[in-house]
Amino acid sequence: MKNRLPVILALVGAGLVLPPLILDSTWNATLSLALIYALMGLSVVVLTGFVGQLSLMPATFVGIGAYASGRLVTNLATPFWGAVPLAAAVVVPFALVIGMIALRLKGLYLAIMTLVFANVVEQFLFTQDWFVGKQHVVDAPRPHLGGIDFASDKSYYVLVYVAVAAVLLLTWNLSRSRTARACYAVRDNEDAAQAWGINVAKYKLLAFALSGLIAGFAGALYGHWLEAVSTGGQRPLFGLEFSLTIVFFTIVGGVRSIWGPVLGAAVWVVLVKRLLAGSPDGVNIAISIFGAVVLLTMLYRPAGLIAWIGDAWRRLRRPRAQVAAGEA
Amino acid sequence: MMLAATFSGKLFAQDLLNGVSLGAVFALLGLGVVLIYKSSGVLNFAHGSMAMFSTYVYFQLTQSFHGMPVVVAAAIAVGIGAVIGAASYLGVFRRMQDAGLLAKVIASLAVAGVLQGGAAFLWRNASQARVPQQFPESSLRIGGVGLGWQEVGTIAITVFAGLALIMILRRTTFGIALRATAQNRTAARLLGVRETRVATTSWAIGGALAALAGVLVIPLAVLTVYSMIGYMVRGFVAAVVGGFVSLPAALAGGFVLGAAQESLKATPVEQLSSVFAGLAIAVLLLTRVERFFALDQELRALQELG
Repeated sequence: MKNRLPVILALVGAGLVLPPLILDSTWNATLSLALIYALMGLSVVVLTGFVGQLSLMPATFVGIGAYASGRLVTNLATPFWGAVPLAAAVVVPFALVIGMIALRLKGLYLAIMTLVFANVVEQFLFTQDWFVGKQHVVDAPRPHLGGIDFASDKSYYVLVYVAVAAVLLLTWNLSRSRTARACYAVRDNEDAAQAWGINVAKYKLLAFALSGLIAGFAGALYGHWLEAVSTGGQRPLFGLEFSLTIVFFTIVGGVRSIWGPVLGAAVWVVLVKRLLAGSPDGVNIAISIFGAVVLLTMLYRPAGLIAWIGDAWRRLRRPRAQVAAGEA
Repeated sequence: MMLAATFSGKLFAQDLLNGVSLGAVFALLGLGVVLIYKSSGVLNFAHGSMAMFSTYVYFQLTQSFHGMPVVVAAAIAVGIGAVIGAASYLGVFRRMQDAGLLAKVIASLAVAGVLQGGAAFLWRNASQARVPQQFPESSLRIGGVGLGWQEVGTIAITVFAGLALIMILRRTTFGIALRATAQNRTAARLLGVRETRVATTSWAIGGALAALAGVLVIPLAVLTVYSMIGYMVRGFVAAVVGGFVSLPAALAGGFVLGAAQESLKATPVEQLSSVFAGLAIAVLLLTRVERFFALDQELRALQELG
């Protein structure tokens, strides 16, 4: 096991360097979108996978982050590097309000309330000129850093890759900590966790805040990926459909693993942006397919696609472990 | 001064009346949600999508067969709604009886996704469709205010359907079996209640009511794949009043929500109208208002089920 770190580092480095070098810019844009979607899914994992709370408004938080970052850069001349974290932070109070209400509600009621709140934010906040701009379109330019211009799809991929890798690493670290184990206890049996002296409210609020932060961060990166954020008119951009999409690909990938949304988002984005890109109804076909796959996942393998990979990995490693044992 | 300048009694009465007719749609959806929840413990997040899909069927029928009376087309669409409801239960939720609460929620979202994507694909050339009214386009005028016959019809049908459903649950064998299932599943099964039959029937009625709501309200708006979501959300708020188990509370809740939301438009705080549902649900859930309308036993039995 000593030689695992260099292998992982090499893989991570290859992920950073190879796509801009060997793939065209459309593929780079697709891959950066997949990474941004993975972060959106991660906000669901933190909430549903860690503490067992289902929110149906991830896209709402993403939308708030996207608009906030765009407005900060365009109207308040904030540099990108400050606007993105600020936009993520803006979402946290929203998430905490939902979290505080969630403390008093059990699963089903929370799901409904987030559904209603998502609809209300969409009809109220996302239609206000002071928040979404006069034309309901906000420019979200990509940044420079010194002499480096991140405007092209290839360079923006590098930026997104570093940002997403950092968030994934921090969350992975968190998922193995004492804090996370307390969260899992809350998820599996709230009453038992309380009896063990775990402060249930504290961990739920923490999960809500972190989920909001990640969703807002993903939203800000998404806004600058789009380069102009709009409400989407007839097809609401940050509405229930987008929330469903995020929840769907996270479930399909695996909602209890932080790698689940990475896998799910990759499948979703490649399906929608590449395989079905020629069809004007690509998104609709994809949502139908994913709806059906989610049903199959819930009925037969609730742990998601990532669990199949876990199985395959264990099957691969077992013979090797036996060989090692035989030699000793 | 400001108050006097912006407030008009006639406008208020008109908005209130519009609100009542809108509330009828919320109530129709709320009734179906309650029925489905009572019978199987599933909170049907696909309710709006079922309504939307059936309304597209109605649209297609009126487009393809010009000679067909709209009432017949509406009746067929309502039948399709019933089939979609029954099929979702038999295909998905019957297999999930012992699954957790979140699993059921996610499964119903998945059904919504399939219907949503399917409708968007099937009717891709009619992403913004106009559908005909079932009632005359003229309106009924009382004093200074008026209400279209379509709205009058919606209110009448909702009141009739709601009262009929309440009577069915009180008086018929099916209703008693349904209430028994909701209160104590095991005991009901031991006494010979056929759970699958009761739940399938409830899902069929729920799907039919959803289709009815869509067919009645969409002629006054534009039919898109998303146009039922807002109504469904407010139907949930109506159902919350009775803790998802009380039909009379859902019926009344729908009307009150519609009336309150629309009448706000005639007041100086008209901005509150669009967020009213959000405020209402937060207050309703946090004060546990369902205690006053639902049997404690039913509430508890269904929560344990989840």
